Amino acid sequence: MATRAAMPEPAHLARRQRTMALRMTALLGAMYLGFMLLVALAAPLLAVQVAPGISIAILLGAVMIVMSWLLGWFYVAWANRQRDARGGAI
Amino acid sequence: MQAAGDGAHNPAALFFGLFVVVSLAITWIAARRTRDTADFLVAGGRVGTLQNGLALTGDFLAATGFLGISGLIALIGFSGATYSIGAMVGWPLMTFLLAEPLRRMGRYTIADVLMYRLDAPSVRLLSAIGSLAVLLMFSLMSMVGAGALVRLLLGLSYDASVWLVGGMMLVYVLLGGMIATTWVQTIKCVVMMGSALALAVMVLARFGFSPGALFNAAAARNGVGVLAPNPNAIGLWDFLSAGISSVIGVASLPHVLTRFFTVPDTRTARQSLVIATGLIGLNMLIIFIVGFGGMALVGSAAIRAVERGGNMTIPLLAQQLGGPWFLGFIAAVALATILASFCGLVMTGVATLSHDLWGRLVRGGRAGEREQYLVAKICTVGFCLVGVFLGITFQGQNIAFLSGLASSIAASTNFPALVLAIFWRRFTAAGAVAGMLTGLLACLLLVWMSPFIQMQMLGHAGAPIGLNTPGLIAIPLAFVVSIVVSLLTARASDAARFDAVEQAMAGGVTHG
Repeated sequence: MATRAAMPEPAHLARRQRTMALRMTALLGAMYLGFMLLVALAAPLLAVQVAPGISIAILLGAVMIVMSWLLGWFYVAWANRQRDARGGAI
Repeated sequence: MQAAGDGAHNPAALFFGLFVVVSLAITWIAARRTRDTADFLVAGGRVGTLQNGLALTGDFLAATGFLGISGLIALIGFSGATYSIGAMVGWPLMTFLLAEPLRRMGRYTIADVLMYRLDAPSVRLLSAIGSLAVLLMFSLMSMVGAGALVRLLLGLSYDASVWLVGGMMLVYVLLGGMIATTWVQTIKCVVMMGSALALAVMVLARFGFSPGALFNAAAARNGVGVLAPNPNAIGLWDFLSAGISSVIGVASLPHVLTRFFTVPDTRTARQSLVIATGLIGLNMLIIFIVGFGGMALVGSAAIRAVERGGNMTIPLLAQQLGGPWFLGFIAAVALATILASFCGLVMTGVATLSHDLWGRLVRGGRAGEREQYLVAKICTVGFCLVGVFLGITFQGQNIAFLSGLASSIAASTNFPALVLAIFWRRFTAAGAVAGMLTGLLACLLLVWMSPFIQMQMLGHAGAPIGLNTPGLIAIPLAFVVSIVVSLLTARASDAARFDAVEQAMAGGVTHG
C-alpha cells in the first residue's frame, strides 16, 4: 500500500471516511426498513416453511443478525486499511 | 422454583457467594491500580480490544437480554425476537457513526464530545441532564428487577434485597472504579454467555440437534403462528416506532458509549466493536433457541403461571434440564448480570455528575485533581443511594413503559446531537440545545399521551395518540429542530470548529 503517490491531507481523509460511514448507514437502514416492512406487512409470506420447522421469518431473523455483524466487520476492515495505508504520515 | 429458596442448602446462594468473593478480589486488585480520576472514571484508557469487546457486550446484555427476551420468545414465539433484532442493528450503526469520533473527541463523557465541537456550557448541561435521566431510568429498572430476583433466590425481604444490591455496588465502584467495573462486566459476560450456550446445547440435544425439530415441537404446542410475525399484535406505526427506537436507542446509550473512553485508540475502539457485535449476535441466536426451548419443553402456560412476563423461562428450563444445581448456577448468573449492569450505570452517572456538572459547570474546569477524585467518590455514594431509594419506591409498580422511554430519550437527545456535531459543518450550540430539549420534552409528553399510560395505567377510555414508543416522532423532530435552529443562528466560528473536528478525525489530535 506504500505505492500511493501523495498522502491525502486530513480534510480529504476525514471526508472520505465520512462518505463511507454514511453510505454504510444508508445500506444498513435500507436493510432494516425492508425487514421491518416485511414483518409488518407480509406475515403470510414469512410463515412459509422452507424446511420442516424453519419458516422464512426465522431464517430472515438469523440473516439480519449475521448481516449486521458482516456490515460492521466490513466497515472496520475498510477503516483499518485506510489507516494502515496512511501509515505514520501524521 | 421452590427449590431455589430454602436457606442454607441453596445452590443459588452458594454460586452467588462465589461470584461475590471473586468480584471482591478483583475489586481489591483494581483498587490498588486506581490512583487518579482518569483511572477511576475510564480505567485510565488502558482497556484492550478483547476486554472492551466483552465489556461492551456485558453492558448491553443486561437482564433484559438474558431473562426478558428469552421469556418473550417462550410466550409468543418469533414476534418476541423482532425488537432484539433491532437492537442488533444498532451495533453496526454505532460502529459507522459514533465509535471513532467519540474516542477522538471525548475524554470522560458524551458531553465532552459535543463540547469539542460546540463550546457552550448549556450544551454540556442538557447533555448531562439527558444522560442522567436515561441512567436513572435504567437504574430504577435494574434495582426493581434485582430486588425481586434476590428475594426469590435468597429469601430476603424486598427492601433488604435492594439494600444488599446497592451496598455491594457501592463497594465495587467506590473502591475499584471503572477498572473493577470493567472486570466484573467481563467476567459476567463470559459466564452468562457460557451458561446460555450450555442451556441451548441441552435444549437442542433433546431434538437430535435439529433446530427445525425444536421449532416444530414448539409449534405443535402453541400453534404454527409462533414461527411467523403476528400481524395483529401491534399497529404498523407503533411497530416501526419501537423498531427505530431500539436501533437508535442502542447506538446512543450513555453507559455503552462510555466504553469508547476506556480504550487507548480508535483501532481498539473499532476492533472491540467487531467482537462485541459478534458476541451479541451469537447471544441472540442462542437466546432464540433457549426461548423456543422454553416454549416446547416447559410450556407457555407453566412459564406464565410462575411470572406473567416470562422472565423465569431460563430458570425453569435450567431446572428441568439440569436439576437444582444448574438452576442455582443460572440464578446466580442472572443476579451477577444485574449487579454488573448496575455497576456500569453507576460509573457513567458518576462521570456525568462529577466531571460534567461539578468539574466543568460548577467549577469551570478549575477543580484540581484531588478535588475531582473526591467529588467522584462522593457522587458514587450519592448515585448508589438514589438507586436504592428508587428501587424501594417503585417496588411492584408497573414500569414496563420505562425501557421504551429511556431508549427513546437516549435516541432523541444524544443521537441527533452527536451525529450532527460529527457530520454537519453548520451545526451550532443553539441548534444542539434546542434539539436536545425538544427530544427530551417530546419523549416525556408523547409517553404521557400514550395508550399505555392513558388507558392501562390511568384507566381512560382512549389516548390522544396511538404510539406507545415515542421514537418515530421524537427522533426526527429533534433532528429537524436542531437543523432549523442551527441555520437561524449560524456563526463563522462554528464552521471553524468543524475543521478542528475534521483534523481530529483524520488523526491529528486525540483528546484525553
